[in-house]
Amino acid sequence: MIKPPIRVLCVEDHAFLVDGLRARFEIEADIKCVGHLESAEGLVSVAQELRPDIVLMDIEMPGPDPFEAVVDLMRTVPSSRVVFLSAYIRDHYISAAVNAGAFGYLSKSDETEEIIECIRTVARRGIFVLSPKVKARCASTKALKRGQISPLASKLDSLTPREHEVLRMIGRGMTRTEIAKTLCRSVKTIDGHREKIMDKLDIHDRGELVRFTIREGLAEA
Amino acid sequence: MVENLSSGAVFIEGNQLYMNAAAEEITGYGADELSTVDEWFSVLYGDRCEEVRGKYESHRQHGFDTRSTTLIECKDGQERRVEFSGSQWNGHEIWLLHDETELAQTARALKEGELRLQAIVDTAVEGIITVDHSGIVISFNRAAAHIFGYTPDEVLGQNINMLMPTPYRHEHTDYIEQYLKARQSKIIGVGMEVVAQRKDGTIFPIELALSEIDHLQIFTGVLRDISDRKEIEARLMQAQRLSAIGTLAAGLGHDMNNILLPVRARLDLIDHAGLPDVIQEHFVEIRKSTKYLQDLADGLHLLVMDSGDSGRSEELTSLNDWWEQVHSLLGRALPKGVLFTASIPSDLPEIRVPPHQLTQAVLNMLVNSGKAVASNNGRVELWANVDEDNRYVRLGVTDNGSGMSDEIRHRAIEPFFTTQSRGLGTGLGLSLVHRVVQSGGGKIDIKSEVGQGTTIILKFPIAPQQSSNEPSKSPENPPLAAISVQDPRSGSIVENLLSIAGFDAEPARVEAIDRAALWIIDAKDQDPDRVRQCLAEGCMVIVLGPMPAAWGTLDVHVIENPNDFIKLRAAIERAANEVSP
Repeated sequence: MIKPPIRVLCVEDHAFLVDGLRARFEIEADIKCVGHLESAEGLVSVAQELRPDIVLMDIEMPGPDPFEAVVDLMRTVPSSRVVFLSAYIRDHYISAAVNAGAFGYLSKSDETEEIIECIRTVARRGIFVLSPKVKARCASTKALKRGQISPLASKLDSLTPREHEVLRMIGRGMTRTEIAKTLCRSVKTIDGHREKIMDKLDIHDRGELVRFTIREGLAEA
Repeated sequence: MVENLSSGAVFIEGNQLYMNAAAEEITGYGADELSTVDEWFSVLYGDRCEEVRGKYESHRQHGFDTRSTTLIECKDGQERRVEFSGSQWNGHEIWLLHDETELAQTARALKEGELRLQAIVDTAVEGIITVDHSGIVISFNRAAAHIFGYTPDEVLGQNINMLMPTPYRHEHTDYIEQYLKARQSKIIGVGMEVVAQRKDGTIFPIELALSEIDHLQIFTGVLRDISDRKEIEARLMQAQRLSAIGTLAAGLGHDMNNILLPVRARLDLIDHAGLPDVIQEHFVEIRKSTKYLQDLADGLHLLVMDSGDSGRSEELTSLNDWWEQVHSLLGRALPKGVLFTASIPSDLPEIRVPPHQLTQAVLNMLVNSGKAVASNNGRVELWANVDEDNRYVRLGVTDNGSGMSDEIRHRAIEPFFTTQSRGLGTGLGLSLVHRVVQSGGGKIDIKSEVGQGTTIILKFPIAPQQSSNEPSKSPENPPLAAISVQDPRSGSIVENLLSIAGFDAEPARVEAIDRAALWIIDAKDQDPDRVRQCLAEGCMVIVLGPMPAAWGTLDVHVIENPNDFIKLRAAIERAANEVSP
């Protein structure tokens, strides 16, 4: 019996990337791009309408938080399985993807054949996939070496939204005065936030804090 | 005659004694109270009368050829220090008395003041050095001795320029002379940061405040070793620079991936459609170029990661795997027109240094070489080999550039040293390279000749191999992990993580559990006795989901939320480390 093609909904702000993938899927008899969203805005309603098997989803896009959108989607359209396709391979992104209920995390630098094979695996077998490049990168990161129970990335969860905001600004190279001005707070308050952030992340050096934000992609997020 | 003398004077005739007014003032006694020589000695010397009189007699016999100083007990009960000089004349004697009490007190006070000042100077944290108008060191306190590594004796009387590196060493005397002539200086009275040289030849930064004691033409320098502060500043500067590079690299990699994926997708499409032979050749070249760009984008992440790690790293790097990832990126570090070759043999052992640190170190070396070589005939080679003793992997960069003088070569790894202005991506310095090598337990060796070129060699100790009878993470003998997880998604997340950690993962058939080093299970539908048996046999167990209360206390690792990727990964990594430490 011929199986119906895998219906893919692309959520990606770069239209030319989606066009390229859509064209590439046309070679495959069993994969079909059924729609495109430029952000996670309206994902649930579009998914309810199109009933995609796979939602191929970027992370760094304008609009709503993609991980929260996936949580909503899993609740309302559980038959759709989300696979993240990102240019970034970061511990906290992969972690957020798994927590949100995604079925895969792929890199935009993966071979197109790998991406297609991962889509097929998730759609047909219902299992979770990490692409070879994502796996290789995970294997080379040292955050979890020697059995650290609480790697730095997971400690991000302990930060308040305001502390997250301050951390991102630090990562962008903003001075404490600039941060204070942007958030309409005193420099002393910002210093207090920074101290708490460093305490929670167990980071004792400001340079290290900046490098951490870069490594975890907080500077651009 | 004696009466008219302003100094104390005593006229002796036989045993009779006559004092003038000044002598009365010194002793406090009137002439009528001390009218004989016997009275003089008994009244003014008390218990010491015999002793002092004996000395007097002795002096007298020798014609009072020397002066003497004694303490007398005055009428007011105070002691005074008096210098005596005697002379004989026609059978008479004249004693001249000079009251030295105040002089002695002044001298003692001065001495005490000097000692106090010296104590203050010696206990000061700052180095304090005083030089005269020709630059000769006339004082050198204890802190200065500690800072420079010289004892005061080695420096006192020497020219201050011995504490300076070239070229300042040879110019300093001129500075003083010019200043004394023109009395104009940019540095007197102003704090500044300069470099100094220790006895062992090392050059270090100091903060120096100079002042002049005008009327004496003496200069005092108060200085502080600011090596630590400058090191911290330099590291912070490096961190900021790396942050800037990291942000740039991350953004660039992101954009390149967004473009390259659709390009590769469309190339697949063209390939699928079939191409005439005449175009196929060009198509292959386009594929190669795209792959090159993709490699370049992939290598960028190695610039983003932390380079500020301190201490020894546990991470191993295979130079071949590393080079595979970064060759496109690092090749771009050299100016256009420079011939770059790389020779990394395929059979090199692993070294103990994180790949991102290695990338940053080699990038620095290549940028430095790129600046040193001529743009039209420059050659830079990256090479690697194992040393003769089979103890080190040597990774070197050789260029045919301008080379370094001996002095520059010796100073090249100093954190503050540079021969050029620093810009983005450059000037991270060989000090950073040095730190990376040190963190890997290695050494840096610089060979250079002016006009001939430079070779910088990083020597990393070869990471010890695991012995063959230990469980190994190598593909030939991976430890086995058994999975008993009902939910396919959770099970596959676990399988991916096991694979990343170096386990061979199998579904939990009975024989798999018997051979497994790690068993990952759902709490649901499991027999706690089987879990106990596994634990007793030395197998580690990770439980997904809340552990049923009926199981009692078991030595298992519980991950309450199976979706908690980070905790699950950490637990699996820890198990992997216990299996293959």
